[in-house]
Amino acid sequence: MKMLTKFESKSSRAKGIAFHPSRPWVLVALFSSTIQLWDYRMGTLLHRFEDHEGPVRGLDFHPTQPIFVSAGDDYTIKVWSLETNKCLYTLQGHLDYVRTVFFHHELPWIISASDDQTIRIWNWQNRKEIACLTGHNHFVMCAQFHPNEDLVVSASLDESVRVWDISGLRKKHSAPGTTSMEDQIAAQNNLLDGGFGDCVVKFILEGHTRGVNWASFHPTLPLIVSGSDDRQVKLWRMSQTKAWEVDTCRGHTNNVDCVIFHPHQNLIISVGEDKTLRIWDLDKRVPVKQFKREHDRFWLIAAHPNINLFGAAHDTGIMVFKLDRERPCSFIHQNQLIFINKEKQLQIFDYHKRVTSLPYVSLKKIGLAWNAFRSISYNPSQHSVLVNLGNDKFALALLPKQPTGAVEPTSVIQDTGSFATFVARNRFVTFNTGTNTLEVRTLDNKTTKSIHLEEPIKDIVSAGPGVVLLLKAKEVVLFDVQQGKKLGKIAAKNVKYVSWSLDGQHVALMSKHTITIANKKLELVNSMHETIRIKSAAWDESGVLIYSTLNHIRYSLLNGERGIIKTLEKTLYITRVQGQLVYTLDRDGEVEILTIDPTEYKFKKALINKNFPEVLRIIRNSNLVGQNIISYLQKSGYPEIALQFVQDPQTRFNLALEYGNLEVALEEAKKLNNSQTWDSLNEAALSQGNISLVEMIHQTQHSFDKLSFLYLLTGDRSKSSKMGAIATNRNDVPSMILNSIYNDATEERANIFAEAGSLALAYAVAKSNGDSAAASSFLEQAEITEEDVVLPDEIQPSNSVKAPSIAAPLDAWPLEKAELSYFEKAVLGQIEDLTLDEPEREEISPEAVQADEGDFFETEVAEDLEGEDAWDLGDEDLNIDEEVQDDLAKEEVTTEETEVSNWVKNSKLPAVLVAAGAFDAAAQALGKQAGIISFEPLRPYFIDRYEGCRTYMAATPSELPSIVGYIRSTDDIENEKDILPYIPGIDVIKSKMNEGFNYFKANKLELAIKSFKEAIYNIILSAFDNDEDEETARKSLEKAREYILGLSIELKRRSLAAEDIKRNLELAAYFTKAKLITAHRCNALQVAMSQNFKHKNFVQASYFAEELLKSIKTGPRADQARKIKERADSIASDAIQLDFDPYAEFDVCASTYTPIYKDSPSVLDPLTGAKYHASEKNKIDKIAGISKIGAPASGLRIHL
Amino acid sequence: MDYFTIKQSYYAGDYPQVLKEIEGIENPENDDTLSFYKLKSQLVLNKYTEDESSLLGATFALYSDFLTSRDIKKLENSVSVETSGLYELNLLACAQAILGDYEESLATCFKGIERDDSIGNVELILLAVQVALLNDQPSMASSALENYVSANQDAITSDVELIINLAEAYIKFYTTKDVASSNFYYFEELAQTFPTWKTQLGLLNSHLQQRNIEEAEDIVRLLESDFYCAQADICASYKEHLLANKITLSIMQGKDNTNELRAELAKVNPKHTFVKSNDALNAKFNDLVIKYSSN
Repeated sequence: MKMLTKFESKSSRAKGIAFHPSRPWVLVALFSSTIQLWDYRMGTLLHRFEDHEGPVRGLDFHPTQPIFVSAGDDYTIKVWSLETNKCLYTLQGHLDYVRTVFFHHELPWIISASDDQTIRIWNWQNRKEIACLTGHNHFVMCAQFHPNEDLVVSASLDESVRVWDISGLRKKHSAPGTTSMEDQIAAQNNLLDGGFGDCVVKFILEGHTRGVNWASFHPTLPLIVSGSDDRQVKLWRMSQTKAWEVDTCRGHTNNVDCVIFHPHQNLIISVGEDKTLRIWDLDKRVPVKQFKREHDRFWLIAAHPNINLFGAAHDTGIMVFKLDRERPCSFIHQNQLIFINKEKQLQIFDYHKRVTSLPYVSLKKIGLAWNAFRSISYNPSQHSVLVNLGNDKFALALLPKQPTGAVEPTSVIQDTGSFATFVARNRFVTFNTGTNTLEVRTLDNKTTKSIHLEEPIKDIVSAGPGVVLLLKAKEVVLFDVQQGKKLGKIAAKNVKYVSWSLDGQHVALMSKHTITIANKKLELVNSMHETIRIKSAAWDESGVLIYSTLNHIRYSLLNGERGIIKTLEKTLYITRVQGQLVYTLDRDGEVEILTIDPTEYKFKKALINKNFPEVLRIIRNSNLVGQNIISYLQKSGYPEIALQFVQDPQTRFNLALEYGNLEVALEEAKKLNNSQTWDSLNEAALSQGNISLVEMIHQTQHSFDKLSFLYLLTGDRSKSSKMGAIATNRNDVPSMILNSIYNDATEERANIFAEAGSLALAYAVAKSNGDSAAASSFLEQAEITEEDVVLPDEIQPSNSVKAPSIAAPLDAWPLEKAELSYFEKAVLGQIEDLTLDEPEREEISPEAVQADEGDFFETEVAEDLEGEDAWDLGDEDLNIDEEVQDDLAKEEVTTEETEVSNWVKNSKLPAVLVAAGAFDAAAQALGKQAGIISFEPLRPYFIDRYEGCRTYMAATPSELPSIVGYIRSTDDIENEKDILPYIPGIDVIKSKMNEGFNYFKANKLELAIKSFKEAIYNIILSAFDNDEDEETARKSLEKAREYILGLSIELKRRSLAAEDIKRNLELAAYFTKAKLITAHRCNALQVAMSQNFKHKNFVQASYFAEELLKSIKTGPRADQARKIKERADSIASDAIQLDFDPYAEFDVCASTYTPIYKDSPSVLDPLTGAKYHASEKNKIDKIAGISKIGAPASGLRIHL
Repeated sequence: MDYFTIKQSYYAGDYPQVLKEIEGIENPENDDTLSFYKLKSQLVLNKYTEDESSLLGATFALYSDFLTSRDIKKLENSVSVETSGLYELNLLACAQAILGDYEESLATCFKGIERDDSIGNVELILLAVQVALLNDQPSMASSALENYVSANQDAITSDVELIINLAEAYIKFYTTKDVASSNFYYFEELAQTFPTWKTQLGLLNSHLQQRNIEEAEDIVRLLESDFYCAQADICASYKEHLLANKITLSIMQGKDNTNELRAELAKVNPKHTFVKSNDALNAKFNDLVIKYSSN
């Protein structure tokens, strides 16, 4: 058997292994005394725990707390913290090697088994031993708690397996109120007293002839499995009173060291020192699969508590593996997904109708039991399916025309060959691994052609009629089967899955961590790496690749641009993407339809394609916001677009500066008004030569000296001289001097120096500028003569300032006028014919898309060797929920976490949002889910939901405002996640429906319609915690729709003029099409019958009479119907031709009350599901009056 | 002096009994606590008579004026947060809270609480707790109460304890804690021991919080019976609270008289918290209708 190995570690002998319940971690106990912690997904050793002296044998993670326990040959049990990676404490008490340790699933207990012949139970919280189970008379090799009952199973070398009843222990330690303090102390301190009475041997299972190494409980059934040195695996069953041996599985050729039940399938898995891992059928006790290591003895096998994963410890390390692939095989043909469900039955999902068929056939008997199929290929012409069985065999099975249930296929051809794939209407290819040849075969399995290939291949995928993709180890080859030649190739390692774009122009080749996108000639478009495993992909209508990884749905544009759309809680395989809908298959083989928000990638795509109208439309119509988009736009060189998203002045300022928009920058700078902003703006303005802005900034900032320099620079003499005057007014001497220099005002400067007390400088200025009079006056003031002054030798009076060379001051640097960008134009309203409304969504029918693609378009050949469940890594998620939280934050501003914020945290159902007061968020949700746009009719329901979960208590004194108390859905709150508001339940809906029925009976049709509408409004704002109520509500909605439709038709009929007989009769006939309960439909039939009879439409009257008689067999109404039928049949003619054919398949348009025949274009209302002629699209639904007909919607959510 | 009976009657809503108890005491006007409870009870019973002989009496007169005029200026000018007595601060903080100035009201309360003065301190705590709840700050309410209790652990007399219990009940009511257990028992016991409008309404709220529709109906019937309606003055004071609870009950029952009850409440007291909230909800809904009608 080949195993699906996820991870292997190499080390010294591994004796124990334990999986973390939620993280991809595995603990390994080594014989060398080390404990290793591995991330088996990334393949990295996270930590080594060294504290044990000697071999470590037992290990277990706590199911919820960040701790684990270990035990070994140093007689100790150690509890470790995963947060500090340190040993928290050591439990001592055992007197010999400790073999196994396990946590209890709910109580703070640890159970240990030891060579000292005892089993001990410890309370890890108070670190006390609380029980010692004695009875075995040799080493106890293993002891485990029952997964949900108060039982323990142990295995010992004394050749017995024992089952212990520990309910007494639970009673004693879980209900402290029932015992006295003294008893408790005694119980905890006195081992013997506490141990004996509380844990009693319930059963002793004897049958093994050598020591027993392991015993495990079945997770759900009363079964035990044990493994022994007698090389046998034994299955035991127990009842309340006894236990007995059921059967023995023989096959191991050496000691069996560990054996467990498969957590989800009826299998037993055992490992032993014969170096094998064996899988047994639990029901038949026969071997199913076997895996052998060449040199390593197996010591232990463990199952992951939540994921379908196993780990085995052996002589040179551990291995983490899966027993089989979990990806359901599927194949897409036009608008159908052909897939194999978990029971190996073939079903077809119709993408158009979104319905999964009944099974067509059961393929359970084909291939090996317990082995999943590898892939399928469908032939629509023959209505048959090729199944690759995974063991170098394939089967060709004919499907019945109609799905009738899981029947055996009538014809099955099985043969040897791998990767069987249809390549034409009447041909398929298989690969012969022995001869390395591709064989083309007819539908009766005759080989018509053999093509020898140079290299082995790993899979074949259809690539259109007559062409296949051959997936090789290092490349993918496009191969024409008819001509037997290569059409193209691309280097891509280990490609496992392939997805063709809908137009057939591109193909995505997926390997474990890489997606290579190529064109149809296999020329590389781009290649990208994902750290998380890639699981599946499909292209949407616009050529965007939507792909799933272990934990995300992501998108990739052709240029390699990618991002996260949604976080996944479990692994899903995408099969198709249509608009906002992603169709997937889950590991249970069921179709799951997800709704995604494509705005982000549509936006990016429009931007890349420079489709600016689209970009602007998305900006206007979507709520695309966030730092990511802004930085993306900045990074992509579109700061002006980023500006459209931003309100924050600082960000707007930065963006505006980045693309040189000084106007916007100025606007924002005024708001920010700080020196740093002004400085930045000044710099930008200066570099653009915008003098007036620079001037304005200096003025605002009172930067006088800079202003003076600016005027000097621009040659504005008049302002420059004003600056001198301003400096004088401010009495700012340095500035006065500066300005006098800029203005070449020597006389003034000399005076400034003089007044400032520096007559020497004043004299120097005057003298050097040839003003002798002034110079003398300064000498006079200084009371000295010219003789006292020693001047430098070479001083020449000169004019130190050049005259300005420009005539008028420069007011702006001449720049070429920049053309406005598309966005600026759009924002300024300069673009004509700019439509920013959402275009009508063009529904591309899958048939239309695939009509050109031929019958053999895309095969999703699915082999999952590496599948694994999803991990919660996601901090990169777009998290749509947070947006709702934001909405709430806007609406309910509170300073701390309150009741209301808890509600919203716990549910985003519209009803809960309304109860929390987040009306806008609720309205958005209702719009998205059910296309609701007209909210006025919902006003009382919104307000009632809000007020119905609050009660107001008079304060003390009573004149103070009342204090609000919140009403929850339940008082029985176990954790915060259960905190939700009280919302009226299904009873209100039922009572409204009954009210409607009563009005119907009383012939008060308007009132009946009102009641049914009220029922719908109540349903919209419901929050159910169980499937049954949800189902009732959804059925009520359908019923209410039918009644409103029927009654509206009848009211319309009654309002007609008497002479409008034809329409009268038609409406009477349409009324009978409403799906009312039988008793009520009889009224409609009676009206139609009488009206037709009255107006001499006897054929029609007879039909309605007959219909009526099917429901009412006796009584006056039946008598009347019989008479009418008899009379009508005797005449058998119609006076008026009606647009009503009772035998045709049609619906009645809820707006025009005219028939919509099958295949004529129609639209549905997303809330009520009422059908309308296509012409009614985008109008308001007539049933409930609140939703937009044909609006895209994800479906109303009313389940918590 | 032992104020237990007086305070017990007051907080149970038996205001005539408060007045009766005080009647028998000589010169009650010399004791601020007696004056406070007497005047407060008179206010509820609409029998307030001005008595400006003491400082507290004068402040009460201003408080009484405030209740009709909603003009807080005179009261603010008269009360000094630094020097006035705690009962006067209580009146000022009450007035501030009535105007919706919760932050200021809390500041006033805490100014008083921080003082060493013990007379009127626990009454201020009760007020601070309620105002903090009105301001959506339950943790502040809890910590104010906890601090008081831990600081006065040894000096909690039974008349103080009953106020602490009431404050705790308000906190639990607001935070939806022990709804079906201890807080329910508190209201139930109170209503059984002192069947008054106030205690019955407390129990009614507790039942509503537990969605006990039948029990809530019983209490509504009881409060609308002749016995309770005959207490005209108290009935007038508490009618609005009964109406607010009846609206919640009516919504829970799915009855169609909710709008009539809303209208009646708006008529009785247009400033009631419920009415204000309902107006705000309608305004919010109007915005919603406008926003989506343009789509």
